[in-house]
Amino acid sequence: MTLTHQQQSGIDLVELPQRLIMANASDARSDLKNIIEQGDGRLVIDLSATEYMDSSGLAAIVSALQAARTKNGDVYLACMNDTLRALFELTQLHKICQIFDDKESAIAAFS
Amino acid sequence: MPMIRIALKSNHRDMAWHDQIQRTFEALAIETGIDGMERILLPMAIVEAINNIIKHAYQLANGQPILLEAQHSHQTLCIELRDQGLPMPLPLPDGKMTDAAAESGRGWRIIRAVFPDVDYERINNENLLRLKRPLGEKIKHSNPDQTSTTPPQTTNH
Repeated sequence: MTLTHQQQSGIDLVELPQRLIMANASDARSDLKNIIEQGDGRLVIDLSATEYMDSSGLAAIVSALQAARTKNGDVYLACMNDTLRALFELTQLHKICQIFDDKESAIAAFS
Repeated sequence: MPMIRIALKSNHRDMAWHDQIQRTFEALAIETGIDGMERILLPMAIVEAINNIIKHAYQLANGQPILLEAQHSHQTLCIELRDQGLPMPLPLPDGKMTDAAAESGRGWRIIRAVFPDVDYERINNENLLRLKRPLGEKIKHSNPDQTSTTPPQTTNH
């Protein structure tokens, strides 16, 4: 497990590492899929520690999103820094992911 | 023209080359007056080009050579990347995202946002990818969907 995982109010909450790049994205992708498969598909990804992602990291998030939606769940993102937000906008991920300022709001949005 | 030359070995599990590219090109962005989001995107675009070499040209094989050379004048920044892996399929991706939910295609979107001028040659079983951008002015359209990109070029030798 490369990610920090816990449950809050029945929602899976995952904290991504400082960098999500080609070197660790495939492990993160597997871990996210396992968490989604074992849970009910409602996942909040806390990006407060994440400073940087490359396209491999972005693809891991898309993969998690697809897995969650297959289970009629979703992936909500929280605590994204300005750099990541701009990267999400450039790569159009903001169109398919819901982004929240903090993880409490993301968890509450599932309720 | 000042030159940066970095010789790397492919390793998709290694973060060290990543740090080197990040440090080197953040400094170059400052030196050449690239600011704002483009300062952040410059090293990202180069990382994406190297990721592509490791993933596609070398199929994740470790220890294969990648040579990066960067030169700039007052007007232009030019990055050249050489590898000895499989040829790039043509045409080069244009960076447009026709499906926002697609898993792939974002690396080229980042590359095209920073470098409006990209060309590729296959020379003596070596790939040469050349990334160019003007200096002293912002790229007017950093969204590849709104940019008229230079058509991909190739020369087989």
